[in-house]
Amino acid sequence: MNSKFPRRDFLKLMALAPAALAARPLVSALEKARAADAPHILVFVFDAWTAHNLQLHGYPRRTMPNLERFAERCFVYHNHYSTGSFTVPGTASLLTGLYPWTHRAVQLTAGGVAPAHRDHNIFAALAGSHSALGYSQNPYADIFLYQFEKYLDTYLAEGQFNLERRSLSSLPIFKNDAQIAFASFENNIIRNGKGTSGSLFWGMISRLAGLANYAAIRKAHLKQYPTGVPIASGVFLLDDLVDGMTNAIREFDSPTLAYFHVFPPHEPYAPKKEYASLFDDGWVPLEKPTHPLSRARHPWEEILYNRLRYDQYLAAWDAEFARLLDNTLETSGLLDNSIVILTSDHGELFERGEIGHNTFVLSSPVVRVPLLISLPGQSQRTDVHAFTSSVDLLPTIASLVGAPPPAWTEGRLLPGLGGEADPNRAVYSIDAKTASAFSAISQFSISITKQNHRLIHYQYPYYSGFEFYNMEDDPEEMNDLYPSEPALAKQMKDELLQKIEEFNRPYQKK
Amino acid sequence: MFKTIPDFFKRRLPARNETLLVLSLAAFLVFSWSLRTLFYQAPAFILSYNLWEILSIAAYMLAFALLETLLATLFTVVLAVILPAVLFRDGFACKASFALLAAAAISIHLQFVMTNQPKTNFLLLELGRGFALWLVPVLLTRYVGFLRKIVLDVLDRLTIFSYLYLPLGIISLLVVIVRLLW
Repeated sequence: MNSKFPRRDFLKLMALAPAALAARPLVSALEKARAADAPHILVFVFDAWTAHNLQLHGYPRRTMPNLERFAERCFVYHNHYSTGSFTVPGTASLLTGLYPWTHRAVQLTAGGVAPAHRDHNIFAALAGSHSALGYSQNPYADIFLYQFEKYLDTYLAEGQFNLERRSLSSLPIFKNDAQIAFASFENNIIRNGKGTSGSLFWGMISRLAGLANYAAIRKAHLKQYPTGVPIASGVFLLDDLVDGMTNAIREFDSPTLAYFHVFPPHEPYAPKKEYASLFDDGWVPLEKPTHPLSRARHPWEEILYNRLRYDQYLAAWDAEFARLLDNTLETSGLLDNSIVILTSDHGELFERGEIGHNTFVLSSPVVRVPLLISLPGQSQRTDVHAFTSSVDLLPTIASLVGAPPPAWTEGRLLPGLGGEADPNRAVYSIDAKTASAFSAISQFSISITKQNHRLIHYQYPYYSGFEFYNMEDDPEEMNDLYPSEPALAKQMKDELLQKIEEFNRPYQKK
Repeated sequence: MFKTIPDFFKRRLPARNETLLVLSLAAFLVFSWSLRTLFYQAPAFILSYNLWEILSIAAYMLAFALLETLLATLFTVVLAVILPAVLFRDGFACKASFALLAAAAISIHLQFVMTNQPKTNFLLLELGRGFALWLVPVLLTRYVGFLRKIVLDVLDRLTIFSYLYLPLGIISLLVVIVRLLW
């Protein structure tokens, strides 16, 4: 037998190579065409949006009346927990369906998820059926969109809807090296926030120029925003943000998965004039003792003031976002052909000496976030009280559009949307901002929630301990049951310690 | 009057050896501060990035430091060109060096103490301090000969750093360019 591969056959085979190269996008296009009647999926992530400040979840102030109206046609998840207490781990979990100890984006400086999970994301999971659009106004969430960019058909830059562009790393010249450019410029060379800049002269000039620019913009919009203009990486107006998203949605010409990660209601809390005097109601929230892990130890009056501003900002954002819901989605009929999801990457804390989410304290408001899902044409509200996690979103979305939930996700189908409520299901949240992405996580705040109870474990060199709360009888987490050593606390503690041992095992030195 | 533009610059530009001394000081200040930040941030980098990524971040920082060094030096040269010679060009090495030192001191001070809503008075006070920080040593070196000699000797010895920093900056710039074109 002649074992030689004839030159002529080889050339014929080579002639097929371009066709083979074209096949993948062709197959993808065919799949998308086949799914032409698939619904759009609109994921709106409001940064630092806690469930605790919504009347929908029992808050006395009616901070978001328009959202409540929209909730009447949604699945409303009352006990939904983010996996992390700040943007990086929370967003990574939303986009990957993985817990922070798996995706490893646990620090503020994280340059994205671990290389092993770069193809494990929501855009990849739906690549066959949906075009993908990604937008994040928060640069720390935008870093993941850079990372998953090959799965995005449309990428909107984080400063797209801002009045000014302040991040050097988002310049087109750095497109090929966006992650390292971001880590270099925004985190080091030119810091506009806390800490010193790596640039001796330009860092300060840039900061002064930015402040002067902000002062000018603030002055120009003082009537509209009496307490200050909203600012993310650059200054923006709530109206522009909604208009920008509206225009992007109007461009959809095929079933699209759109991820909009917007900055409101993240601090600085900047309500518009008509909302800046709301809630002068004399209501005073329950004062909680300062937590041993609170570094800021803000006075109670300051906490109250910031909570009020946050509530006012929620109201302002609610009114603005309602324009998109009512004028764009409702009137155009898009709601009848779209799955609309509203949620957050993490919550916000106004208690125990803390304001915001830059904290080690893992009390419920910093991780319990809203989750509303409206299916195409849905007209009834369904309340779900089971404990759910942000890692559940990805498999649920995949399932809703008929795709199999990816094998790599650590989430489950949400109850009511293909999944079943399971009181024994454990939901975790973790803050490990001082941990390494490459080794075992030894310092953390972590919580496990199940059977209406929540166990929090703090493990730091200077403070460690457990807290245990009955979330049904004590949703404010005032009465720590751990000292009385109930059986369930011991059981949950064992389960939590086993989970920690399990996720640290691959990193233990042999 | 000057007949041509090159002639204008030739007459107004500070002496080359003095400019090189200023360039060396600028490199020393800018690169040292950049490296200080790099090492300060290193514990955080180690948590999130592998060695190659950390080296890439270092390349960005040092490439930026090179550009900043050149710009800072250029700025002093432009001042020498446009200001009356007696104010800046005569004794350029000392005057420009003290200007850079004063600007660096004020910048570092502001980085630690400035809030996000600085008052105009506060900034004016800092500007005044910066001017005083420049003027006092300029006058001292103008009228006290041995001080001027010491300063020039120190500047001369600082050039050793530029043999390390400037090539480091050039290599870093090349690394960044390669990464951007990749």
